[in-house]
Amino acid sequence: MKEPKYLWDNTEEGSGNSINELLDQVLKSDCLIPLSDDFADRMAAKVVKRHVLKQSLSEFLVYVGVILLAVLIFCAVFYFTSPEAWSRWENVLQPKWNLIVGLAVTGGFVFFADRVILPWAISGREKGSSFS
Amino acid sequence: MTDKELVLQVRNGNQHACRFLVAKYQGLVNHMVRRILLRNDVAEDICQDVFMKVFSRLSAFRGDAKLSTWIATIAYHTSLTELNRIKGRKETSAEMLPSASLPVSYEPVHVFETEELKKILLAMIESLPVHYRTILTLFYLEEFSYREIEQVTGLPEGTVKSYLYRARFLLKGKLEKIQQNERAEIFVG
Repeated sequence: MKEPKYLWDNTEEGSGNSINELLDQVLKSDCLIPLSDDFADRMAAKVVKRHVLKQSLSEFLVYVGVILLAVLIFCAVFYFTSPEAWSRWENVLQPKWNLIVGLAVTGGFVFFADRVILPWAISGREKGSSFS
Repeated sequence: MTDKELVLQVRNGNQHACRFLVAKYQGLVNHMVRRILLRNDVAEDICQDVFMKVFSRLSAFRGDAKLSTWIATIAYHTSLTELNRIKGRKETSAEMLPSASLPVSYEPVHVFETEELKKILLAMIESLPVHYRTILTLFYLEEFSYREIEQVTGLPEGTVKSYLYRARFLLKGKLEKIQQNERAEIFVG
């Protein structure tokens, strides 16, 4: 018959200390399920992606703002300095309004893809790389 | 690398530093989340939430407290919020009250193997109220001081000491009960 192996001193005098030791031992032992091995890698990649998205999006918005402001200033100066030329250009461009808007949207999307989507997609791939 | 240097590197956008920070503190966050929630299925997602909060709030870290304490505070509050969401406010507040006795009953006989007893003890720890579990984890597993536990949980130092004593007392009582039952079993057998 297998001899029972006691985890604490089973005598009256020794039981208090043994229980304390056992409690310490169990409370200090890491018995919980660990996180997956690649948890740190995945977290770092996620944080990098988020950082890159935030940074590139704010840069993109600054670029778009500057371009729109330049176009607006150009149009305002053109309108007030030579109204005749303005109306002439207006007559030429008005029928092609759809084309102009289409070109602007396409250009904007290409610019957005280049400045935001592409950096975001390739970020966080290399281990140990810096995204600053 | 000190915590201050690490935070600086992360704020400068060093991916290697991000990975190092997560690797260094993932054990702490994992222990806290699992001990508070007692749900292995959602624990990893909550750990991710905790680290996302850590990174997004890192600019607010002034270095007054240790980084481990600051991260533990975020893990503690995130886990409690999740616990409230899972169980509902009513149940959670009832669970948070210290209970006088443990609800789980254990078979005292044939508790001879170390692993078996560890499992029983862990089940006992898990049956303790959430504050007891948290304090036990921080004190024993993470070796936080009373002052640090006070910073993490917001509980006064005296309460922390009292909870720690009472948690140990409850566990010890249960263990002694098992021991007595085992002795009686031997004499009868």
